[in-house]
Amino acid sequence: MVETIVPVVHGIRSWIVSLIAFAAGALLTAAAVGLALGVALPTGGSPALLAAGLVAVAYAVGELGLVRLPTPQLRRQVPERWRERYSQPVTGFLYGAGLGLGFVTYLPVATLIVVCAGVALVAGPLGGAAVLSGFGIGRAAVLAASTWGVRSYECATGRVETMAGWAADGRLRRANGLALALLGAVLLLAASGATAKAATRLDLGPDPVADPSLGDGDVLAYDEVAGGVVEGKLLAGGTTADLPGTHPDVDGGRVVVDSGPGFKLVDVGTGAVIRTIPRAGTDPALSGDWLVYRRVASSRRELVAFNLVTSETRVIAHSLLRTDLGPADVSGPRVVFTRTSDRRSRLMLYRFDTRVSRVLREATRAVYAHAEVDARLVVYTRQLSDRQQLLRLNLRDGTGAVLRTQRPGSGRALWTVSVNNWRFAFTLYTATEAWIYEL
Amino acid sequence: MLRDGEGLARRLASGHTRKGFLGRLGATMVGLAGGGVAASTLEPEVAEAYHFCGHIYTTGSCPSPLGLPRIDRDGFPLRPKDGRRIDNLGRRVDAEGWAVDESGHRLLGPTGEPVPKAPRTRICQDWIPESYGFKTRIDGGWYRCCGGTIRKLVDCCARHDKRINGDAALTGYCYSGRKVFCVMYYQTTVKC
Repeated sequence: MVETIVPVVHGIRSWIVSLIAFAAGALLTAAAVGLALGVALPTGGSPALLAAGLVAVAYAVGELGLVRLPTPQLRRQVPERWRERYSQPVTGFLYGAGLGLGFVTYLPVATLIVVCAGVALVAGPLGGAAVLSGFGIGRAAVLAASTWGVRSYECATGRVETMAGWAADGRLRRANGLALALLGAVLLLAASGATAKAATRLDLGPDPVADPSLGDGDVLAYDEVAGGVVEGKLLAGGTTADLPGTHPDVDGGRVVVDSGPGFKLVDVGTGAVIRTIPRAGTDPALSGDWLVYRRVASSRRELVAFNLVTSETRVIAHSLLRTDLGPADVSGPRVVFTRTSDRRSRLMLYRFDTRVSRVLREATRAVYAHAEVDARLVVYTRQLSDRQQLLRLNLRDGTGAVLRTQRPGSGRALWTVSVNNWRFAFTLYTATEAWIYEL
Repeated sequence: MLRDGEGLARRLASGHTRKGFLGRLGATMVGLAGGGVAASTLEPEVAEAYHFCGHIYTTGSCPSPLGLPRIDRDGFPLRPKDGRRIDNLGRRVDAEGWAVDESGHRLLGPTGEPVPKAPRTRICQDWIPESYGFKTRIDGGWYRCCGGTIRKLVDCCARHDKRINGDAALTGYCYSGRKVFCVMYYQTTVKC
């Protein structure tokens, strides 16, 4: 194959074009494999990390020659007849596409298996495609290194043989085994760390508390239920103050509350009301210039975004009254919310810049609720028939994790959540009590 | 292959269109003579333990929120013990789909808002296609006496050679090449 893509006879330009075609083919199929593996299994938290770590350790032991483990591969070579039938760039693309698949040719080491297992267990589709793209790029890099500046076919094959010599006497497999062992150890440590991280119950007094909103530092806004009455509270600098409304949402140095006839913006530092927005609605959320809230209007439920500077009003989502349109949270250009109809429950993302909503999660036998967002990190709850979970979703790479699982037998259920700078808070409640925990 | 009472009821019922419950009830009342034999020769508890009352075949239950696949006339899940409306999580719900307690009051969170709604979809028509990836249809059913009222046993059919158990599917009351994938039941209030 190396003899096909060399700067000999056809010249440098044709070699470069063929090399790019090879890289494109390898990148395409490797990314497709990663994408497929990423969607094969749901992205999991510490159990998935644990499983990926065990696979890495097992194959590390295999590479060190201590046990024999299966290595799925077809041990085929690229078809030689292609280079007679097609032009050099087309042949390069096809060879790249074939080798980018990985398992349809000879695999001298088990690294690809471990990476694929890790992608399937830990990564989402985008993350999987990105990781396996590295494999495709690696294939192309080896081809470039072995053919760069060669003046004859023999020189190219000589380089390949030199590279193969590096792997002689099991050196490559031993080095690979040590690398996989290191990877496995890191994954196992991450898994054990994730499971060991316990939630801390915040001491916020004897009355039931809920609806946390984390701010920077020690700032926390929440609702307290005293004598059946819900009151907003603001904890900052070790001092708790009353808020002029409920369902608070902190945004930097401000907090917004639902005061009944409208919404009030309160300065976190002074506790003073800095603005009143006379709009009917509930469950306010604040980020920058945008205030987002829920309302019922014209026989339908709406999520409304109000620009505090321009007074622009947008209905960013609406539904039938029968549909449960959950409260929204906003961070920068992103708004997250949940929508549960008779047919399905969805976790949704809306962007102010594109004015487009998209579905992040969808289920018919689960309920998504209590969605919150901070930059590109989304947290939400998912309720199944046998458990309730607090989950996070990283919009940057599509990865997610289970932060907490609550079983019905515990008598406690998850309620509202909050996220700020990778800190998480959530509400747990029973029939008579409610607490806020921080992760 | 068919047990006596069940065979009679099936033969009688198979002569009708089975497109609607009321249209089928008349035929069922005749078939009950056979069904009654089957019911009386089987201990109800034994039948319930084997699968569910009235169903002594091996085809498994359709998946449902609380195990036993009790449905309403449209195929939506009901709570097996009392026929109350339940959502896809198995929670009792009111007519608008909000989760309620045993008194019918909406379940509330710690600050007084109702707990989030859950979807409520039909077991055969929605759950099976979603879970197994093929179209299904309720083609027909047969009738038994269970708990003092008539129970209609319903076949959820598909053009699929395997049933929910994983082995070969039976034709049952399915039409046009469809076979029984799983079974459900609808408990009427007609005394028997």
